[in-house]
Amino acid sequence: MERERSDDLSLENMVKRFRNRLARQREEGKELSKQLFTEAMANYFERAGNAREQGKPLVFTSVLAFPEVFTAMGAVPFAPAQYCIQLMVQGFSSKYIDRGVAFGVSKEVCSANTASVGMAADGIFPQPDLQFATAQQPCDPAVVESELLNLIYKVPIYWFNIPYRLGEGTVDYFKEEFKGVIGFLEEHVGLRYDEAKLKECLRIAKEAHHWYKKLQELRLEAIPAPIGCREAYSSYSSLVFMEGRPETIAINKAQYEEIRAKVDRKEGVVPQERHRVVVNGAYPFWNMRLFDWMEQEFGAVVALDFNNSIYMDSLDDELEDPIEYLARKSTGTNLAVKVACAPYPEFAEEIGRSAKRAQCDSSIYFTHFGCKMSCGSNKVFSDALMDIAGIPTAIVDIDAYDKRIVSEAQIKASISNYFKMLENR
Amino acid sequence: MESLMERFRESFDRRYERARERKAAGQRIIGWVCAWVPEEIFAAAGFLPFRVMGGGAETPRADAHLYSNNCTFVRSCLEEAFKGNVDFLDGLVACNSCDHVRRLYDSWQQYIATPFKKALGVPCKSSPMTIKLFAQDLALLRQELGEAFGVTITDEDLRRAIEVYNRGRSLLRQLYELRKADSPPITGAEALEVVKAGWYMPREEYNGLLVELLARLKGRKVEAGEHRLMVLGSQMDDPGYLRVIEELGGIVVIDDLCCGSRSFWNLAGIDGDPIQALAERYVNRPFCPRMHPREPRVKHLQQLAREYRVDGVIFESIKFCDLNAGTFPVIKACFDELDLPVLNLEREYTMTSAGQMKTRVGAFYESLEGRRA
Repeated sequence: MERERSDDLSLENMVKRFRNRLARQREEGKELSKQLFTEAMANYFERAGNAREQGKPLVFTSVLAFPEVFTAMGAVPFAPAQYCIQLMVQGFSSKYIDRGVAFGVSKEVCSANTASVGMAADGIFPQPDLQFATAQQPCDPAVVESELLNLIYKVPIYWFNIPYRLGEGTVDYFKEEFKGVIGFLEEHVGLRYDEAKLKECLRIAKEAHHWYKKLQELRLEAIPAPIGCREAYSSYSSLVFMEGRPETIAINKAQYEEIRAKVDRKEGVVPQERHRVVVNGAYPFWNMRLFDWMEQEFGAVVALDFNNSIYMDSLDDELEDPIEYLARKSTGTNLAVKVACAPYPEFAEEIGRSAKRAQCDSSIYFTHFGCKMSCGSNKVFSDALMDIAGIPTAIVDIDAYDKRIVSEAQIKASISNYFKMLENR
Repeated sequence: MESLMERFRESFDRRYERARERKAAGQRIIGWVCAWVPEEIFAAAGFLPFRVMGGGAETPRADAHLYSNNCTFVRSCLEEAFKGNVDFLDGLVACNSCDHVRRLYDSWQQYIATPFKKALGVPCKSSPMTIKLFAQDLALLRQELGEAFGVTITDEDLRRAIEVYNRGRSLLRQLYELRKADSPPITGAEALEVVKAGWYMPREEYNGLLVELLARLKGRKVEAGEHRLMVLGSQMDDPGYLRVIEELGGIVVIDDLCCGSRSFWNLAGIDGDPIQALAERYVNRPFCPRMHPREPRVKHLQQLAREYRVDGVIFESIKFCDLNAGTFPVIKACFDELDLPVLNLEREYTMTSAGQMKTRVGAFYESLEGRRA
């Protein structure tokens, strides 16, 4: 059912929904990791909503930014596009996509970024003090969103250039950019850099990252798959939203321990696992239950996707120079930095090798209408999966956020045909 | 004059044929995509730089490798490669200009057998550290070209190339100066033909043609419409589009296009480290929407509009070009400050049908006339 009332979209109501969900989860005795995640998300949105009264600067960021630097400086980072994605995951309507188009955004731009502009134009978000934008990563629509939000809010903005390729000198370059961000925060909102605080945030991030990697390694290897696509996304989300905060350690550690226990019991997501799927492209966020349906209908469990740690380096212990550590961490683990805009063929090969290692037999590439970046690489990925792992790929058209573009029935039909084809081979 | 214009036109129209002749005579040819790629480095190495552009509207093989939401410009470029039209290229250098060109490069890298392939990482803002970063990338390109082709590109070679290119750019600036006149001696469509000719012939030869052109333009008047226009937006290399705009009663007196003014507006320094000079020149050239923040671009556009006394602005974007089409509100706000009307025109890379465009441009002219009344 469509939910249209704009007050449902406010941060305050988002917090209420997460608090209600938490109460339900506690009542139903859901896993600890789920409860911790729900609570952390409620707190995340609450911090953004209350930043002004707490006397903390609110910084609007691109998705996949570097939250540690803002948290350590005492600012509150908030990614409007992620908020829109969250709303659409919760089943809210596409009204603000249309509002973004009415503001002047082309209707072909990614619907999450368009909705973000629409919501900003209608005053749904609190007024930020500053903006932090990355470019060209994660993608052109995100860059467009940042520029248009800045046209609306007219606050100082820091543009962080993410190099196209990583190599010699990249870490030094990132250090300079991070020093620029720190100077920007000092200049515009009077925050002071505290090395000890940044070290603490990074120590936390490192530990959360450790549990995240362990969990994802487990997910990649374990047969039957112990964790579904939707659950796996929550540990990733916690890092994306609030890396550097203590709750991320608790969430990822709890989730790892729960999944470890499942693996030890040889307990899979489905009673009988028939297909191990590799998924590429953007998820159909407005309909994440699609993955539940795939599991139930075809015993098809997503064993490999962009949440797996295959693109992430391990973090070392050296924390002497925290800005350098942040630079190394960002270049080694941030999906936007490592993959989003970089040349894809090498990543496609990595996916192919990982799919083989994970013993995947099937592949779905979601081509999200607004995402030219991922759609344009579908052939490179499909070919790599076939060449390296012998897996054919189903290209499934979707709009990741707008249910009006490709219906659930159409998506299910494409996926059904694919699995039936596989099973008839 | 017409025979001279024909020489410019021919440079593009017969670009493949000429390139093959040069290749047969031993000339190495490097293709490039996007105006952020410094041609000077190729010229300094003794190669002929060749701007890769699309061909026809039908792109069946490219469609199978890219996707329907990748713009028709990149699909058309890739189709040219699949057809073998650019198989004379010894190399292809692209850059990370936008999502579409990044994916074009990926497909080219995977599926096209051009011997040397590289994508440059152009930064998204201008600052001492981004210029340094880009200079490192250019130095690497110089080294890789040297290794791949067994050539040495000296600083002196680079300085000579910079001087030749600077000369050409200065001549193009002179050409554009003439368009400020009440009655410009050249139409927008002709100017585009002149600019793009330079991407397919040795620069010294091109510079000679430009000198000749400037001499012949003295005293020339073209039959032009009454509306003085600026055109800006996505890659537009087909003069046919501008011809349609002009035939309906306007004259394009200035553009902000990567196939137009943005390709030559600023010069590279000739003192000091030439790689650094190139990095500075390219990162500081007039911003397109991939560059940030928007203020320098807005200021530049407003300055052009004032200097060229435009009555209206045509903002064109190729379908699915997020960076251009998505930032239309920025353009609108920019020209609202000057009280200039903006026509927002979506199009495809190749002009398959001019009907709808004619209707929209015609209506725009009516609105311009309404403002005058």
